[in-house]
Amino acid sequence: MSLTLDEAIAKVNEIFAKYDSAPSTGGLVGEEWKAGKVYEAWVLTLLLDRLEQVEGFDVKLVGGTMVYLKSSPGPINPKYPHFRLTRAGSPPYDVWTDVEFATMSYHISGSSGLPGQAHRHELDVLVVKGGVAGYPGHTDIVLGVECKNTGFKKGMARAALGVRRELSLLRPGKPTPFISWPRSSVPADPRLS
Amino acid sequence: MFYVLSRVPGRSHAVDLGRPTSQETRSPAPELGHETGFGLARPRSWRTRVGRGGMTQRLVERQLAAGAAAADDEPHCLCDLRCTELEWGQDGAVNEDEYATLLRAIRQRTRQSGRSDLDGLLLESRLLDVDSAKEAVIQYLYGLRDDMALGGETVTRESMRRLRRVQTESGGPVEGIVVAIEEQDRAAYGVDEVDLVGSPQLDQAVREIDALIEQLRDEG
Repeated sequence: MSLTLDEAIAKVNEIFAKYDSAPSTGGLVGEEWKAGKVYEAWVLTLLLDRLEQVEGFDVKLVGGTMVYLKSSPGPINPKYPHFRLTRAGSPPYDVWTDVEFATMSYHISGSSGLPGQAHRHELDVLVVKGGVAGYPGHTDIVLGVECKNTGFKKGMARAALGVRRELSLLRPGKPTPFISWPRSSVPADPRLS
Repeated sequence: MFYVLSRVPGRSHAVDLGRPTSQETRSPAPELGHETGFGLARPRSWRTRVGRGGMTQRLVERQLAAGAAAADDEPHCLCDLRCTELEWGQDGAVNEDEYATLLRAIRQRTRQSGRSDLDGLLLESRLLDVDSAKEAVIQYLYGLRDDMALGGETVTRESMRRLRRVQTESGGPVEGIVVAIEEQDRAAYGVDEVDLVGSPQLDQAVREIDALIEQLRDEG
């Protein structure tokens, strides 16, 4: 049976009636913002699942029983729970979310003290050497993920290139700490050996 | 290593996080992983081709522009769109004008629900490469579906399922995922933390969108 335009529009109205009746987040938190955090949680758990299933890491939540994402990026704050990755024959790594790292430019500048705003960039999910706190340096980062709950825009590619440039230099393939996932080697240096 | 994950599937700049593990393949597929974003490649068959020769890009652009203009008109009432009683598929041909009308109606309803931001995003990200009004409708519906799914229980349940083998220091399971509102943000947000629990209403809405997409695909 064919669908009439009227029927299609009625179905759309029914769908949106359910959407409108869904409880809102509360406060002044926007649904789009919340959806972005849900997406971040999705990516974080996917990452942990792969590291456990494919790479054989033991994954443990330390410092609490709830996973906390943050509303704003900042330094690694040891007060928050985070994930610890361990594997026989491998150094431990920590997984954090919403952290700003100190850029390669900051390192090259020879500055001391806390990096200023221009010398910090955010990563939504990152894996760093175990025990790193504050603003991790570019050599502390093993894996960084930026989550965009939106369609891809050209500006994202430019931003990604900029962040990548502040993490490492393009070099012939170097081994990563990972056996196969997400990559066993990357054309970048520095990398964790 | 640095990755950017965005939600438009099947594009060269979507980074694949890897093939599903055998375990994940056995598990019920997360709703969002099906023909949607999250770095999973879209099957080739996903793209819907117009069944009667297609429209020119210029015509689509004109129709979308008309839709944009209509969506900007106030008030956003759908009553004026309900005068069309034509049955789709008359004479074996789907009327592209009706799909354009439906697209405008859906866009207006999206805006009525306070999601002008989402409407703009979907126009930018989902409708750029469409070659028919029908495909535009379906792509837009997929975008709505993905957005609503992120507010549903299914996605958060799947995220928690992935944490089922993760233990805490006390040996107990992970209890949940929340967003801590930083002190500097509390005045702006008005809450201390946000629980990422999902809504069953939105899961139902997602199922209804899936059903509508299927019906539209069957139309001509």
